[in-house]
Amino acid sequence: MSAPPSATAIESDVVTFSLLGQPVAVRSKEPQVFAAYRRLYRHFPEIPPTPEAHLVEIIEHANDESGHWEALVEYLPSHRHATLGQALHRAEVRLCSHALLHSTDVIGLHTSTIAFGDELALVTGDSGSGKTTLTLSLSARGFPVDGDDIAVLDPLTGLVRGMPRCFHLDSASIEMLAEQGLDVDSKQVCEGFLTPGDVGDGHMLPRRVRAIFFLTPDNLAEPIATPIAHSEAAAKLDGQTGPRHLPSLELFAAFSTMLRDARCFELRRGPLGTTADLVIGTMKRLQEGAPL
Amino acid sequence: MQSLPDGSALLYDTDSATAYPITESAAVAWMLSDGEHSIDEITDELEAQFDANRQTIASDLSNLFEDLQIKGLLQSPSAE
Repeated sequence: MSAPPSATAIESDVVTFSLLGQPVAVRSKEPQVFAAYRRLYRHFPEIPPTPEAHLVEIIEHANDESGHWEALVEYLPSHRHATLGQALHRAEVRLCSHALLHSTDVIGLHTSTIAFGDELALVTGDSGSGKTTLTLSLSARGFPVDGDDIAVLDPLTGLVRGMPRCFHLDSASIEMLAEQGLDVDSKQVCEGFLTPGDVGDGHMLPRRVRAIFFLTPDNLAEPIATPIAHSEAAAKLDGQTGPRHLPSLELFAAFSTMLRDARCFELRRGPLGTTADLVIGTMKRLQEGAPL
Repeated sequence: MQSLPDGSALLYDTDSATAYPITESAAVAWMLSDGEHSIDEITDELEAQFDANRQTIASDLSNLFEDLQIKGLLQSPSAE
């Protein structure tokens, strides 16, 4: 176990960010670690070191055959990882979780966020439903992606902001995205730690939600988007929220505020390209006020 | 009940911490299920507000009330 660093070590080996107002810090001797997190959190302020920060530390064990990289969270050791990207990811998960857990003025949503001008489309669904692949396919079509996994809802304004996470892609998804024109392989600049900034993210500012697509893991010949009522959408979103800071009735009131200009759809997945085109076409009609 | 922008609503059971989504017409029916309105009066109101024939409305209303009673969200007049 690593000993708590001295104040001097904190200043020389640590980069500290403010995530949703929560100080989080990354400690390492490896410059590429800082480069990776600066890419990931480039829309969040870097702040002076503070002992209040939630700390992760990335350590290289060059001669350890069980794994070269370790990600310590608050000085607690963990198992070794084969690649730096895996260690960076483990630490990133903890940083994001910490920020969400302690940010009591926002609601965490399990959803991707894609910018269409000043409005957002959210694509949500259970893990494995294809959110990330569809989201990156939309990115390949020129729509900035703020995040593919977590967003935060301000219950007072109803505005939503994406949270950057590193993307997880299996080889099949990478192949499908390559067919869509997104060359992910060449953009995995830090051993698989692919961030929204690497594929052209948006400004990450809170935005109004125009549509929510609840993705189901179908594999139809053609995708289908079926409108659903706000009540059904709110009930589904209830199962896709992160740490709860609000009683349920206040949570539903926050959903109501978020949904005031939004339409909701069950999106049954078809081929990747036509599914992405369906999302784009639906958003375009909504933004133009055209009938669906 | 939490009303939503498209007129639909969530009924929230605080005992079981469960939210039940209901349609816009069901939300109107719920609001009128206050012990002051008869089923006929509720049917009249739904017929006036929504594009459906009376027979369909009456059937849907019967199913809705039965469902809400099973969930413990609505008490039948006979149980009062």
